[in-house]
Amino acid sequence: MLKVDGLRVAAGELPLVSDVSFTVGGGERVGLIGESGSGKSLTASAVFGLLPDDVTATGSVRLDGVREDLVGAPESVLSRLRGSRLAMVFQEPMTALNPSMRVVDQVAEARLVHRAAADRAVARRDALGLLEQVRLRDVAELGKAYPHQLSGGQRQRVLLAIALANDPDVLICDEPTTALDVTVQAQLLDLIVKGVKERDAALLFITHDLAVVATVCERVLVMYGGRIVESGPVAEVLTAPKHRYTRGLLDASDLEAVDERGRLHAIAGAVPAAGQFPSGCVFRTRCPRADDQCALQPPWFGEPAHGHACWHPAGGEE
Amino acid sequence: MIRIENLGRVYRRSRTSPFGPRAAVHALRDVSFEVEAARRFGVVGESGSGKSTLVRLIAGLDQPTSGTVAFDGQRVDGRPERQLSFLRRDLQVVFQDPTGSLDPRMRVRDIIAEPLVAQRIPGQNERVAEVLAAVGLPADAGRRFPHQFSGGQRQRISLARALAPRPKVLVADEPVSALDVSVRAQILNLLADLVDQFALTLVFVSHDLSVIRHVCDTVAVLRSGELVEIGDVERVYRSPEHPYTRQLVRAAPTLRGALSGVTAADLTTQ
Amino acid sequence: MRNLVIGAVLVGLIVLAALVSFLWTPFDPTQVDAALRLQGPSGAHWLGTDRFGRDLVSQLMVGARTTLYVGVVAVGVAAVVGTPLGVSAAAGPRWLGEIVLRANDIVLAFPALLLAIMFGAAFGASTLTAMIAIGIATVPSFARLARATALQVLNTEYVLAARSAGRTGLAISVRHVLPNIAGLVIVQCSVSFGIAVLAEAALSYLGLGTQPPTPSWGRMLQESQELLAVQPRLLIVPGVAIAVAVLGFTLLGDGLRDRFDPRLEGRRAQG
Repeated sequence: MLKVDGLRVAAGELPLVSDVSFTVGGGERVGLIGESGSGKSLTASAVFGLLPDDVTATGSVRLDGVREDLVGAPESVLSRLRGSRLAMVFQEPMTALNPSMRVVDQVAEARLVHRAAADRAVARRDALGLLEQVRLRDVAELGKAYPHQLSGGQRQRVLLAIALANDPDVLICDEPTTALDVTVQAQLLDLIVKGVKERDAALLFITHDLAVVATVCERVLVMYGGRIVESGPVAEVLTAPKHRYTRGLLDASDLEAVDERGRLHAIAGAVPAAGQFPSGCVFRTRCPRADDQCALQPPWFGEPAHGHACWHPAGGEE
Repeated sequence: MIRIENLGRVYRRSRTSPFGPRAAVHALRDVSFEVEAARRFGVVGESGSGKSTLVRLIAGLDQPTSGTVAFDGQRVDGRPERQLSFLRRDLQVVFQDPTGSLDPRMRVRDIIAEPLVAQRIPGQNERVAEVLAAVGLPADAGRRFPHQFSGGQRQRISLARALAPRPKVLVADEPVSALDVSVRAQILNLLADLVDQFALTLVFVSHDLSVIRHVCDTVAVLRSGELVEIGDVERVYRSPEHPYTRQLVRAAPTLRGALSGVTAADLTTQ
Repeated sequence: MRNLVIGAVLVGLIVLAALVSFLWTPFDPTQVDAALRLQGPSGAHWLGTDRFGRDLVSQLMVGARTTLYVGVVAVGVAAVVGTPLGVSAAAGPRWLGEIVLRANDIVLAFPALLLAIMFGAAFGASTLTAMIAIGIATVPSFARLARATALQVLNTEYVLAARSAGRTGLAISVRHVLPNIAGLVIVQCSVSFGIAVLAEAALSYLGLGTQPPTPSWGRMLQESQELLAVQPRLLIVPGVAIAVAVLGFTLLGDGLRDRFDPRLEGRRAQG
């Protein structure tokens, strides 16, 4: 459904995302894991065609049934696709919603803009139905509310309703629950999974939370330093990771795994600033197993959807 | 060490109509507990639980509308600022937002030295160097400004500032919530080291029960301003008594759970 | 960035003209010569002469001094009085804030013109009374700006941290509030300067500011207004000078505002 090939995003000469390739099939749920500075949000923005002015993308992003490559496509093509075949749920609902419009009107607009509804009245009815689908309680009342009158969780439901309004083929979620309470997050994750399952849509779920990705997705891509360093089925990558960064991330996030002093297993060092990642393997300055060979960029070992880019993968000889 | 009894804090919103009383928000209702010395006391709550209000009341940065706060046997509530020097000396706070809690126009060494300056504690330069080393920052960090550091490093600066006056109690308000997972591990380790090294009493406030479980020995669960459960952290996590606590434990996705088949739908069932 | 540069250049030109005028002007600007009346631009008089035969270029240069002088003093007074007022209104007790706000509104309602007339009537019209009148009339904009930004700063977590460290009101205002509002206050200075220039010209035009024979751009307008049809040059020259000054200071203010926008600081720091 969605095929990304050799995506490269740069701010002038500064590479921010390099050599990113992956596919997401219809009905598949794929997670993109990374921390700050990994390039995961930029990747999503590049697919969606919403990069900031000073940042450019090269490479290929193809959507089933669309003749043109989305990278470099004119705005007229992209705006036809956004909100209809390709939809996105952002992290911060307050900035993604229009503060001066009632929420039901915003959902209705999504239908009207893409001519999915014949007129205002039909669009409104559709909107109310969608808000019910995302289980916004008291739809008749809350639908008439403005964004600032709703809670964070309610706003995210509205965003989800807008995203699902035209039955998209691909739904991209960029950290949709990071700012939410854990009980609200649970409900929203459930709605997202149900929403894509009902529509047999492809899901690209971006987050830094390993537990969330494991709960929601079937496949996972791990990003560090603007590159995909590992990919594969969730069960495999998150139990027996090959790339040293994935291993380090898993160990660091496991709050129950402590050493003899009761300390967590942290990754040494810190994420370098953009443009200051080392040459060769992006992770080698922080890797406990790095050696001279790592000054050479590791190739991809394995298949595109199931492999890693590491000279000395974990779980092998130890 | 810290004892709060029947603590309540009501905020009155501004008038929306000329008639009738102003809307009241009960940020905290009748909360009571005690934090003993050398304990690691956790407070878990989601948004609207009142945990931030609790932090301010304990730290003497706000006045309760009912109830009392006592620190080391002395009352904290109802006292004007000038009578709170005992509190300022022995209790320090680390805030959540690593960016917002550091004055962008001050150099790091001035930020760290501020509690010493405010309380007229001598030996500032040496102490700043000491705490910078204790939190793992290079000595020349003092000359720079906050925006030149990463989120994790800024939290270290916050910790250094809190430790400068040699407090007995550290109150940490969501200190790792804004940090990446790998940085979180480092900061939590640092916090544990510092608490051990300086024999501190720790009050750790968070929305993340699993973090509290790792850090603390006791936990209090807040919901909508009320204390719904309190006890040993393992016991509360494994056998929660209150339905809200159960919901909280169940709703948090875990890697182990997910790998053994817990789905998104399962997180929401009661 | 462009605004900043253009503004700085325009302001720089005026400052330069004023400074040079202390050392040299083509002619004595106050020297009257009936034989040279109303001459057009020539090799000797680059912009010509006015109805009294005085050289226009020299009047412009010395007039620049007055313009800048009034601007600096008026804005200086306004900033020095208005900023602490605004900060105390934000940081102090509620009643103080209310009093300052209301007083602000009252002064704001008084046009600088009216104040200048009152001062002129009471103490005699002069550059000094004009400066003080404009200064007082500009205080409210500083007080209001200072109060609004001070309130924002006082709500930050770092001020909360300062209180937790044991800092008290005055120390917080000086150590935390002032440095963080300084940028915006400087921007306001620049913008108010432009307004002050215009106000001084208006007052001089009405005879309430700089008195003859000291050259003043505003009075140059007033003295030549009847000659609009005959020698428009006499009005265009000071008019353009005033416009350039106001534009220059406003652009400078805009440019500085962008420079000091705290939201952009993060991006600049990362870049």
